[in-house]
Amino acid sequence: MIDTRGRYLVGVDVGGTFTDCVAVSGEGSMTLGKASSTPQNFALGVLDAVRDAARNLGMAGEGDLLSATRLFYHACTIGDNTLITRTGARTGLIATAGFGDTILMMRGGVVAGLPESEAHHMAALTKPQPLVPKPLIAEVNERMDFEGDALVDLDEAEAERAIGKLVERGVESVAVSLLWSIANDGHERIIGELLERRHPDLFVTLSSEAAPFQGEYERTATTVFNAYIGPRIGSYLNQLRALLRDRGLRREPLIMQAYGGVLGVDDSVRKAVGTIESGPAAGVAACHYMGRLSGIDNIVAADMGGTTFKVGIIRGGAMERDYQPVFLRYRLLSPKIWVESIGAGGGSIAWLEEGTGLLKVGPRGAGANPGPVCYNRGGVEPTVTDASLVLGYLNPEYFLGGQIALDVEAARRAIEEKVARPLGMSVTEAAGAIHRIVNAQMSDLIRNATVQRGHDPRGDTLFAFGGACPVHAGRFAAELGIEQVVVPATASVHGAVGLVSSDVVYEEGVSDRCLVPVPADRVNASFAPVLSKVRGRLEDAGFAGADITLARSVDMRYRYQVHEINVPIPPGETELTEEDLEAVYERFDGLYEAVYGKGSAYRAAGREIVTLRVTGSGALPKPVLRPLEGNGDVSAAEKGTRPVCFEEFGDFVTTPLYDVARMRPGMVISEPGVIETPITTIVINPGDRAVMDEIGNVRIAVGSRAALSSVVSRKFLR
Amino acid sequence: MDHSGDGRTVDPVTFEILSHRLQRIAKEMGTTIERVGGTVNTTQMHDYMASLYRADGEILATGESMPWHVACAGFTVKWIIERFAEYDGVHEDDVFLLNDPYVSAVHQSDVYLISPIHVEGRLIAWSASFVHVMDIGAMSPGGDSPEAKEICHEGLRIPGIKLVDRGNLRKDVFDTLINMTRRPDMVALDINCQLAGHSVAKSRMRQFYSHHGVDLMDAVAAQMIDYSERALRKRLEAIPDGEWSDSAAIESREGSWTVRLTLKKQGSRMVFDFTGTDPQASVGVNLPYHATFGTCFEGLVETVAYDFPRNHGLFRPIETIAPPGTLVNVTHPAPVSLNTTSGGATAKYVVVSVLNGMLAGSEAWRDEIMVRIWGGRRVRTSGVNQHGSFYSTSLAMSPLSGSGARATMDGVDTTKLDFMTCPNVEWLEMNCPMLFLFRRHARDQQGAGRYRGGTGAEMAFSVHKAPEGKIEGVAFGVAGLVNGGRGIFGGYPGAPSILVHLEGTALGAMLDANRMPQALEELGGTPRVLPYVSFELSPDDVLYYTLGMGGGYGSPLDRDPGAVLKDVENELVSVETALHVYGVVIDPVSLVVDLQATEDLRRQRLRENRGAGP
Repeated sequence: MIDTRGRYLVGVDVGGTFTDCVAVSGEGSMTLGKASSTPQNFALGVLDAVRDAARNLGMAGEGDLLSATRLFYHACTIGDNTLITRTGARTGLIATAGFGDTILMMRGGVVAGLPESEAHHMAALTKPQPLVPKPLIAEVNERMDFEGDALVDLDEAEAERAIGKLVERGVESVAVSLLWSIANDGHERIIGELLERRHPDLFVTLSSEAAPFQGEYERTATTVFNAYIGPRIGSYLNQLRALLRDRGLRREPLIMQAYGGVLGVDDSVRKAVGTIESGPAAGVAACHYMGRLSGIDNIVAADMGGTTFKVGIIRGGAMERDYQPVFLRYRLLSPKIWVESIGAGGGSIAWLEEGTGLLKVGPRGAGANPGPVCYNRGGVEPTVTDASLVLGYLNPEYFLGGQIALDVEAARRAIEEKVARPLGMSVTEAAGAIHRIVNAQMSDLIRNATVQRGHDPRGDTLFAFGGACPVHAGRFAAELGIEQVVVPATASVHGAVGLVSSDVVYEEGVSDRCLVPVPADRVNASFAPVLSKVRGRLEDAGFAGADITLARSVDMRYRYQVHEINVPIPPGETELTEEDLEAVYERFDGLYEAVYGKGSAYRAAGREIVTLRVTGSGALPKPVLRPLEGNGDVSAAEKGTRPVCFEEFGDFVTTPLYDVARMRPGMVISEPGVIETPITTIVINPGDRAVMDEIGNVRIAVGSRAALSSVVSRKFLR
Repeated sequence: MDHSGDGRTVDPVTFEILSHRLQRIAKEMGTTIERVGGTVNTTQMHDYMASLYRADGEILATGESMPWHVACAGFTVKWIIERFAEYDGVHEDDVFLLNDPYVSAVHQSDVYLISPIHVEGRLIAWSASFVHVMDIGAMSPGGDSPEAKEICHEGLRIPGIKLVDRGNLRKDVFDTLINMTRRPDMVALDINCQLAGHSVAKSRMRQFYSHHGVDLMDAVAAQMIDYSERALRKRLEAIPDGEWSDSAAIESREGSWTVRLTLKKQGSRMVFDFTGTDPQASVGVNLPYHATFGTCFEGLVETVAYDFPRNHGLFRPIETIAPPGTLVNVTHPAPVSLNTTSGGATAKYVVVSVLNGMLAGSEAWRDEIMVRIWGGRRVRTSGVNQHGSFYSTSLAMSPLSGSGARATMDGVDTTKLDFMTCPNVEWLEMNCPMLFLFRRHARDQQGAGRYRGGTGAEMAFSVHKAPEGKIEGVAFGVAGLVNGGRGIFGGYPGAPSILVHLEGTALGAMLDANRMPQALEELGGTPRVLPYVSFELSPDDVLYYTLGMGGGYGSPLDRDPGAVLKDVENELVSVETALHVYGVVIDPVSLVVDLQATEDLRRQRLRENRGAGP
């Protein structure tokens, strides 16, 4: 049973530089904690961040907070880091004889996930270093066909020899991926049992469990990724669980999954591949939650930090997913919240192309070290942050709450020398040009993300978080025709907020290709085992009754096509009727034409269902926030003025500055201005207006026709 | 920034932003085609084209399309403008269809769609696309017809027809076209996905041109082309002038045809002269002129111009000379259906070869040299599948070729380093009545060298659960004893790609004995190496297939023994090959290199080699 006693919901999100903690009390107050991340042992940084939050609550140490914690949520980057640094388990692979090279061949592709500039440079392309080198791939003589008929039975003695060879070579983890195991998993199971019996210490991943979907290359890649990171995630999470228990936490920590939702430690280790890129997913989940508070269900979630710009999409209250994500150039069959990124951040470098003299921004960045020129840490190439400073958007004395003093003159000199003089522009014009280009890159990415999926971004709300995003958001929102920008009050610990607002979610699926119309009996029969598996897992995790929601969906396509569209079925477990299925097919046609245009659907080819999926949620208590108090005129929040350059005026104008800490709900800014917060800077452009809502979010109405709204649903307020 | 065609100047920032958006539209058009398409070529192999042209037919933006076809479609747009000026004219929302290789397509299976884009009644641009359709009514299912002796054997040939008239699909025309193929439903999908791509491109272009203003956008477009031309010319000027020649031959039962090429480069101008190439062939390996030009364009954008925006500006410094009636400038009535993977692959190979020669003379570019693989054999299969419907599909395995070695590193195993991917075995076995025995890296076949060529795949398949008890196939691609790729600077050639039909094998008996054979010796049967031919697999037959392997760079005796050992550990090179070809002595049991013995052996080999020299 999920034990929900205790007063606090605590979420801890580990990032590359900082580990963020948020603790929401039963009364709805939100307390933050922050600590440096500790890459040698991330668990220590987690405790540090909890301790910081505990102290901010007036407690003596992390033990006081942990023993008063109702639920503890966590997002870790162990999987991502393990893959990027290639420090995973020594992993072996058992494959069908004749097909052991599948994972090395990668279907002949090398450019998946690469930017065009790299993909076009043939003479420099390589394949990624394999996670399982050839000497650790063992083949077994066995063969299933597409219908699951065993053409060649598995020879157990040979399987034992294959296992023996891998063990002799020192593997810690074994991936088993046989051809057509999705049609008949008998042979994979036998190997799994042999492994368990003979070598119970090995971490074992079967492809029929990790990714029961058609396509042996992608299924094997998913299985191998799971095997490679599983033991590392296991030792980390088990250690963290013990540490937290030791400090007084009475519950099982809940771990963020990339598809949105959390799982207990054991389930997270078993499907380790699901934790990859769970950090960015938490950011989108936070927007989802904040959107629900405000009754906003079409959201573009935009995160701009020092190096990258990331975008997620929420449509009709649902986070858009990617069912075949590419990670490190491998395509995986592990669903995740769709997040696309480009190398556009505060640290992106502005440069002139040799030969043509065209001004470019990024994708190369100055990183944290040396960072932008204005940091005075040895950076010499002008960056987006330098341009923001020169234009007056950033406060040289109050950047990151005053943690770093910015050198305006150094930024000006760098822009002058590297951009303005060669282009025959003034420094201000050059800084403005850098801004325009980076804003265009961001609006292009969002336009692509929405329009290509058949969505019109006009009418969406843009959530801007991450240190650099609120500087730019008003501009690229305007380019996209987006009329409302929300800068969440919790932007500095946005991912952690996503954690504490998540449910427990199990995600299972099965490949089962059938031509439409499919008899309802067949669909129900295929769904039945998946539904009961997911229900069983939720019940094992302590959920019951109305707290359990099961939702089915199907991936469909027109026959002969390869690309599929996920079609949701209204939540529930009741058997589907022919009419229900008819409605599903119609929904598919509609979704398809929304993406590819009217008339693009070629129904004569026939439609087929390819994959059946079940998403099972166990409802967890959500934070209920206490509204901010106070009101009054925004002049009370003014902290001075500064010359700021806006494109519309073509020059610097004296512009009021506001201190976010002194702003109160309902305060409206209706002229150009800059709101300074300890973590970011919000720029209100000419023609735009801003208001603070009841939970402290700053909402910007973009353009004179946009409505200024500060509605927060009473349901979520204390 | 220079002045554009109409004299209007676009500031560099606006140019940077808007030119990117135009590129994105072309890319999105391509993605749409890939997703809506229905054949393996379109959906999995990236064998399609989607690009944008200026109102006058100049190439504007090409997304991730195959550059070869981008060039051909440039001819198509200009031809349609000319042709329809005489008839009915070009109207808003028209779509034209063309597949005549003697006009501007490559072979009939590549069906081009061309559509004008108007804003407020003014022609602002064109969109063009092609996909390789599943069937075109040729004598062989799927279009690749080894037995064709003249173009009339090779299916429908349309020199330009209006498929959509002012936004209305001409159902009569559409039905007529698909009716002349073996799979009207699939060909309909092939045409439909292109219509979807054009519709996406048109709506984005209209929105975009109206929003920013047609004049501004047109100035941006003109400048994009000037920009690429200027950048390429500048780069060429910095590379030493000279003349480089190479040749390569296609072999068949009927004879052998050699493509000869000399590149003359002077200043910023390049002349690709194919004079001396053999007369056109009696089988469909011949290239039309525009396709030969396309191979020059593609070779250029994959080497010295790889990082420039791909548009008409890159055309301008190139001239291609190809005498009519030869393999590289086919005239009526010679056949062409097999040409993309034979004549085309060969022309492309010699183009890159002479470009490598040019790069070798440049200090700055020498390290960019990459040995090219030539091509290899290809297979198309058809028949009735296990679900009872007719199918025809390319096996689409070419992405599993090995790529050539580079000046500073090995070639890459099983990839052509482009956007293509091959289907999963599970996809093929689900859709075709096939059973694969193996699909793996082929050992010892890559071109040896200081840097070795990439390893290609080998595979074998048989008939499985086929309602008609057979698979019909067509063997095409580059045929001949040398078709992988030569090595350079002392590197060895890669092994040729072959297709072997093994008749009457022991497969059935072995499966009954609970074993899937993994070696040809186990299978037995009568082998027949396939030339350009149609064939039929019976239940006891197996088709064995190896892809082209990359050639090597530099002498194998200079290869780092540690790298050779790694290849042995990875089962790409045998201990015997390590010894005989690389001169590296490795203990077959312990897999340890004997460095002293290796040094002695290599020294001795060098002495022998010098002794054997002239």
